[in-house]
Amino acid sequence: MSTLFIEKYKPKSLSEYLDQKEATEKFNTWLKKFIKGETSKPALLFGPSGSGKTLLVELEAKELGFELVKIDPVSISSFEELCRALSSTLTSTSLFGSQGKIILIDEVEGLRSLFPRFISFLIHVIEKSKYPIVLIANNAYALGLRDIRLKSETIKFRRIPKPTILHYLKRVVQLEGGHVDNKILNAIAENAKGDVRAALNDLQSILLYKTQIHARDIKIDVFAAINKLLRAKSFEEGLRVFEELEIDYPLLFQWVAENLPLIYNEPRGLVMAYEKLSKADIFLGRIKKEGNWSLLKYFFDLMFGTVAFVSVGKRKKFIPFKFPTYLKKISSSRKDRGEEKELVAKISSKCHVSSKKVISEYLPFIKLLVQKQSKYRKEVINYLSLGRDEVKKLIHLS
Amino acid sequence: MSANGIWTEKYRPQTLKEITDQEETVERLKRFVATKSIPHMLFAGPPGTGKTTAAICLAKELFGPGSFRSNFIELNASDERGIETIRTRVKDFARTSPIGEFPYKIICLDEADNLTSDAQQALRRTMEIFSHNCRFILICNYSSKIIEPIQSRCAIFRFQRISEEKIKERLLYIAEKEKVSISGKGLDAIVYITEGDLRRAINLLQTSAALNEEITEEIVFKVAGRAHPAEIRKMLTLSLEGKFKEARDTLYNLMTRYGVSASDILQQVHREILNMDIEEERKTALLDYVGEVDFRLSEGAHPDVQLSALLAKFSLFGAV
Repeated sequence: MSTLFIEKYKPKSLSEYLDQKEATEKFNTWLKKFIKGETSKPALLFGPSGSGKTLLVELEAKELGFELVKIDPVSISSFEELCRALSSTLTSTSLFGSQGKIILIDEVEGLRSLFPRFISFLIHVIEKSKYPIVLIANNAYALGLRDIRLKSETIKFRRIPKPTILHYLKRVVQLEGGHVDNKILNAIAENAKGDVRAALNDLQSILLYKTQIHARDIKIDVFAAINKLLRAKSFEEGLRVFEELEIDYPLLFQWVAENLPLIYNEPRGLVMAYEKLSKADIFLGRIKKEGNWSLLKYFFDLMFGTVAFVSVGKRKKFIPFKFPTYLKKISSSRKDRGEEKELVAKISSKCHVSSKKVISEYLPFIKLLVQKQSKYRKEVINYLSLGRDEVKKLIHLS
Repeated sequence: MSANGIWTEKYRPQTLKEITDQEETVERLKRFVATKSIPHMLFAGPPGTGKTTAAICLAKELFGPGSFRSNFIELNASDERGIETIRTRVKDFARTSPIGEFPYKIICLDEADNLTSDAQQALRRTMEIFSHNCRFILICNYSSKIIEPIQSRCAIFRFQRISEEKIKERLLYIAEKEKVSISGKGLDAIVYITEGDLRRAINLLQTSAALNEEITEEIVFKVAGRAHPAEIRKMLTLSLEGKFKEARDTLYNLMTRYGVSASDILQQVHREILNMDIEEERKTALLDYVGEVDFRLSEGAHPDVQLSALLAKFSLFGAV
């Protein structure tokens, strides 16, 4: 039998949808408002994995007879493709002649870490959309989602309560015609920590292979996690620690990088560790450039290898790690370069240089010239005939 | 001189003879203007040496101020999307005959070395098709990147890197006209950073002047987003002494507070190591690794990590 339970027992309609009452109501209110034209905000659904975010949207679309256009990191290989896909779907009418459509952008955090300009692009296009846009993220308060969060209707999904999961598991067992001890079901439900998908996967593996389930302990404490990573004895263990973490790997990477000098008190170890990390970073760069996700495994290998297996001069005791300072510094200064095309073209023709040169050489320079304190502010604005918005854009360039 | 906000435009030479430090090339160009017959031309040389200016001046002198606009077009190979767009724009432009007595229109294609060799083949055909009423001026940094069939159809003009004295002379001239004061060290800093690129030098002069009464060394480095060489030297010394954490703090500071880009830092590191007073063999080993990191910077995703790796490696060099 090859069908996954999570596919097989996926609710077919809203009536089968589990226990997310508040979120469902909020979502319905938002959708109605959007359709009536009372709001143009997108909805930002957030909450733990397996709490039914994507599912709710799918079921709603089905119920209303709307087409559902899904965009997620798996289906997109380049930023250009993403922009094209989004822009065209925002304005085109539905392919299937259905009443309307919902645009679902899944794993917003993933898209953002892949394409740094994604969020600013998104903010730029959502206002133009004729159709409701639903964004899905695990953590709406993650680094970098602030701007989009403020422009969205946020809808929080909670962990599904244990009794609900238990009840659901029992029904699945019944439908499968199998028998599983109540104690075990209870343990699965407990262990799932509100994640229905995880519970179903565990149940299936028990029914099929009679295996033991592994504890799914959720750690949010990065300090403890990195210390654990450092003590990992095998790749498998390292990977497991990582999977249990609720932070994404670019962040973990930054943590590891920041703290290497604390981990190694001997230069040779430090150099070896940095060498590995540097190579891991090269893989990450290639993944970003080419969208080749199959390379991600090497990134992980090298990152875990760095902290777990470079043992020269490694400190033995628990280490009080530091928040990545570099990350902290740039997160406050990073801005976008998305929508400056017209501005660039203008400067390019006035100053007889290519757009490339405008971006690399002229923007930073003109930015300084149009600041309030600048002596030449007026002349420059006049000469380039810059509008007020353009001046603003320039000043806020990073 | 027109009242004009951007100095590189305001002080852009209007005639060939005003162009800084390219006497020989300009002399040849003037002869072409005098005979009223020009071939296709290829202007090659480093950025900021007056290639585009020379093309514009040439056209102005040939056509006169009245019909210059309708007979001269500037295209940029790195902007126009592919050779097809260039071809279409050339076709549209070449459809009408030139206005005035000069029998050709002039098409100036900047950054021609950005075209792939296939695109250049297509360009060569276009040049031939329209040669009855158009002349091309191709501009590039490296003439060797232009395919031979095109080179052989063009008169080649080489633009030299402008000498330090001439750059200083020009900057001082502008500073005087604009009534800004600049210290000797400030002037040196601009020359150090811009490495013979007059356009960048003038841009930097204006930005420094915009925000400050007097242009000093500190202000120039800050405005340029470049590290003061002393900061780079400090970072290198710290890492070679094995003080990795302090070295990395200096690095982070340069990157975040002053916004110096990773590749700029690496370029400066390279320059500093070349000037360091250490054995040639060790120097080579350090530079070898700088090269490796430069490559990794372009491949990787986190420049801070790559540069930190460099500093860590250097701490080992010092320890041995």
